[in-house]
Amino acid sequence: MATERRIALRHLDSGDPLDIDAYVARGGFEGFRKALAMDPGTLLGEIERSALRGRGGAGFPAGLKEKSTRASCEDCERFVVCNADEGEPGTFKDRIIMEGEPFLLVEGMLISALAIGSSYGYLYIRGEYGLAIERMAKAMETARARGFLGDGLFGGRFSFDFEIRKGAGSYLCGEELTLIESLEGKRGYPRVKPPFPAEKGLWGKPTLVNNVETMANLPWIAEHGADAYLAMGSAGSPGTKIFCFSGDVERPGFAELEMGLPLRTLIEDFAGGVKGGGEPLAVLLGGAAGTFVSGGMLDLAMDYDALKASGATLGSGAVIVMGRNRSLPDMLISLMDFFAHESCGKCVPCRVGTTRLARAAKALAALDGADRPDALEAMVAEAELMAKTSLCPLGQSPVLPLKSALRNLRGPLQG
Amino acid sequence: MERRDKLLSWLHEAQERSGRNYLDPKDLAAAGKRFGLTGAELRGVASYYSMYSLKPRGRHLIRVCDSPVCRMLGSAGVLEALGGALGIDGEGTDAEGRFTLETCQCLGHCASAPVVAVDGTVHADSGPDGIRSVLASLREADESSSTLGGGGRGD
Repeated sequence: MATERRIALRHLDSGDPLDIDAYVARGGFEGFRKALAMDPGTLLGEIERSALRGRGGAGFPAGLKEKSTRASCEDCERFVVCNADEGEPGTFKDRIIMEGEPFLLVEGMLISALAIGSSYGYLYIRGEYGLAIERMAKAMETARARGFLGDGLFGGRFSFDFEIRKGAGSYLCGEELTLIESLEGKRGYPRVKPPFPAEKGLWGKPTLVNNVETMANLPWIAEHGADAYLAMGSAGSPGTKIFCFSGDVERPGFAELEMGLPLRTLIEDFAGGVKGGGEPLAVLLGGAAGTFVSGGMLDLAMDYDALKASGATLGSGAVIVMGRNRSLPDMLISLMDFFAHESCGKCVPCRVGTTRLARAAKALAALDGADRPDALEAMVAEAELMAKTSLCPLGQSPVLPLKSALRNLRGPLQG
Repeated sequence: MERRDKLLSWLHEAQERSGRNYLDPKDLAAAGKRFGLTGAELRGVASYYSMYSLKPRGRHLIRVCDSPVCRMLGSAGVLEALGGALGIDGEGTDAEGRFTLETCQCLGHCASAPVVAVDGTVHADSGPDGIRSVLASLREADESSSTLGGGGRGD
């Protein structure tokens, strides 16, 4: 049986999460200590070579993002922003990190700052995560008192500190440029890109925006090196990923696993199997902005490339299991309602399109099974048009579950 | 003048202080002076985010997660049961202004679905049995606030 491989969760369940002495005794801040001894080019090279990809859902190479943020200007102010606006349905891994091992995220912020040459940052946490906000604030205060945040860290020339900013209930603010708008105290409207945050981000300055889990991988990479990281996972997707299990499984929860394991192993070994036994009707991978696979596709390897080849995505790592007695049309209604609720209204294709798709999903559910594939095909066509004409990822997302349902779930659609 | 990036946190605090879980026009006016923003700019921000309300809500705020996982596992029944117990039809506020019942999107506790947040605290597994504990905590919360003069959280 496969076992967990904890990298981003390696300090979880080790006693009081706010005990900094215990964190240091377990090897905490060792990654930062090593990173501090490297020149920035070496550190960036290690992160780039580790092939770490953004764990928020988009999977963009983390090293490349850091490198371009550093390279976009000389001797200018740059910001580190940690994206803790975790709003993707079925996803709660960043909350687990912040509540359970807040110092690891402080360390990840420090290493990010070293890599891009920044002395100040922000941690943007969704307003609904009260306990995570409380724990992170306490951890930052302790880290400051103990000389892990502030001026001249470890007696050297490097200084870094950061503040927490609370979100106020908007899924879209998890998109990096929208998050920056919200950090600036404005409505969460997406910006036109380019320019990307690496060039012009917070207050127009070069800004690195990374997800919590991505940053939580950095201390391990800095401490053990890229080669050790590359030895885990599969060739195209090295390292680990935190998966979150919900829906019709015996043991909903989470696990950090090397990438490339079959989906079946995740569900059976780490989520206790499908509730009531047997194969699921479908699995929604990656949340609302994710993709469906059928109960017959459980041998799929959970890595970026294998999933892409099957028209699926890893996304945020959400694994939402639907039991055999569930209704796919009902799930499509929830997903389309979700997007209609979260569309910000700035650009017309998304504002009108998400509402039309929510209506179309309800109409589809009322049809006879045999007529549903045509109705879904029409929804896919509309969602594709919307994806092409919308400004930000929200308008580009509804097509993902719809198209994958059409491709992989013909049976459940008609049933 | 304070830099605007502190606005969202300031609005959160004002809403908590209000005792009625909303942004009082007086607080918005104060925010305008503090951050150098017009009323329209402030309402533009406040109305965008789902956690803020420009209208008074109940002293206690109950948010039923209605995102895809919670809905699949029965959030509609949770909303109905809570509404029945509190005398609220669908979403809204009871006649005495004690409780507001509303739905919200994903609260990030999907392994415990369906979930309900009461004054920001998430209650896991809010199925028929779980509802009983939620209701008990609601009554307790309201009693403690009444002894403080009904003004909410006593701060």
